Amino acid sequence: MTKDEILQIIANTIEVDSVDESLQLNDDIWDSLAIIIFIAAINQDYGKILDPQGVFSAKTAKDLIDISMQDL
Amino acid sequence: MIKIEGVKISGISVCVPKNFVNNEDLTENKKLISSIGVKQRHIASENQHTMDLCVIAAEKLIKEMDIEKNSIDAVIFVSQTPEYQLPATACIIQDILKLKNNIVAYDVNLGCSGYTHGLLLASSLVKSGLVSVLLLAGETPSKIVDNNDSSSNLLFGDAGSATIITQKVDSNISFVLGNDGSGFESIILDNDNNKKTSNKSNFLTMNGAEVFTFTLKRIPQLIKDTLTYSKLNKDDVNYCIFHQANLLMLKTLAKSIDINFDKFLISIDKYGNTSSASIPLTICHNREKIVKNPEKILMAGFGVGLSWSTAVSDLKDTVILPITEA
Repeated sequence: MTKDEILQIIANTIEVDSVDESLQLNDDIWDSLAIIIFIAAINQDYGKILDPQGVFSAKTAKDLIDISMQDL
Repeated sequence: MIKIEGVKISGISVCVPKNFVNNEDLTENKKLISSIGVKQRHIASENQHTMDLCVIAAEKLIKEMDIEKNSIDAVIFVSQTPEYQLPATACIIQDILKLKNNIVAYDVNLGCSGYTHGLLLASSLVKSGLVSVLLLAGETPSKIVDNNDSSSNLLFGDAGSATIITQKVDSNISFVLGNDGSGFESIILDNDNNKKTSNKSNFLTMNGAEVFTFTLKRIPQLIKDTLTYSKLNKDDVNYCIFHQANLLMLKTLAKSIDINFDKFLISIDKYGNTSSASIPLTICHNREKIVKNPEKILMAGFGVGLSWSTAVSDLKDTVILPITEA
């Protein structure tokens, strides 16, 4: 699991070509469906189960990278 | 692990409301529709309740299988949308179906895991000596879902089912069950008499991310345990008939437990998540496939409670009726 791979998963989740770490996860793009799609993608690609509260609380793409790479 | 010998699922019937809605008519959010996998759902009319759908399914099963009503020694109604808070709906159904009076009749308040839990109860009663048990599992979530709640208003459909469990030598059903009540608020419908929770809605509320994570944590291990206890390899399983929570969940689970998604039978696209009815509904919807490979069927229910259960059974010689619309 690399930062670039997670950024691509975030991009796929919100249906854009690419994102960077500074992306702000506002309500327009980071709704309950996006959270579930992101959790599912991380589980399918890496077998990791993320804490939904952590994903819900994330403010930026960097937060999601940190949560995803935690304990690796 | 519970293995009950000498019991068989003899027949299954399902009834859905004839009224249906297309989700594409309700939202332009195609990403949501493709993720949950629900294209259309059948919705009960104002005066059509869970009990009505289950009764129609039961009447059809009794007629088509030519079941002697006096042989039915118990009726179990599994639902979270009963006819009344009291009395138990099973008691009313005994009279509607004109079943005998010396009968066991009770309700079970379970949802997503309700069918497999109900199969255990019915099988246990048959094992204890009853001739046959009528298991009715159904739900009308449309009565309790907030149409403005985007997490659930496109997901749920209404359905009622009837299953007859009987004695049969050389037939068995294996079960694994579990529960974690610490997650009870993840899917909840509070009532006016119980305001201990933080949930104050009069509608069903669901924390989708919490439920999704619970499923990923619990169900792969549940399936592993079930296969081990049943002495089955995952390649031995002909079909996985899981509670139709949502399509993304089913696909993620298939990958997590490493079973080809082709073995997962699906009904959620046409009927939505019908809670306790979703497993029998999926069986009836895929009856032509099951008839060709009826052995080693793995059923799994999981959700509200939070609770989970599996049942492994053959459906050989099981009468599986086409879905009735009423």
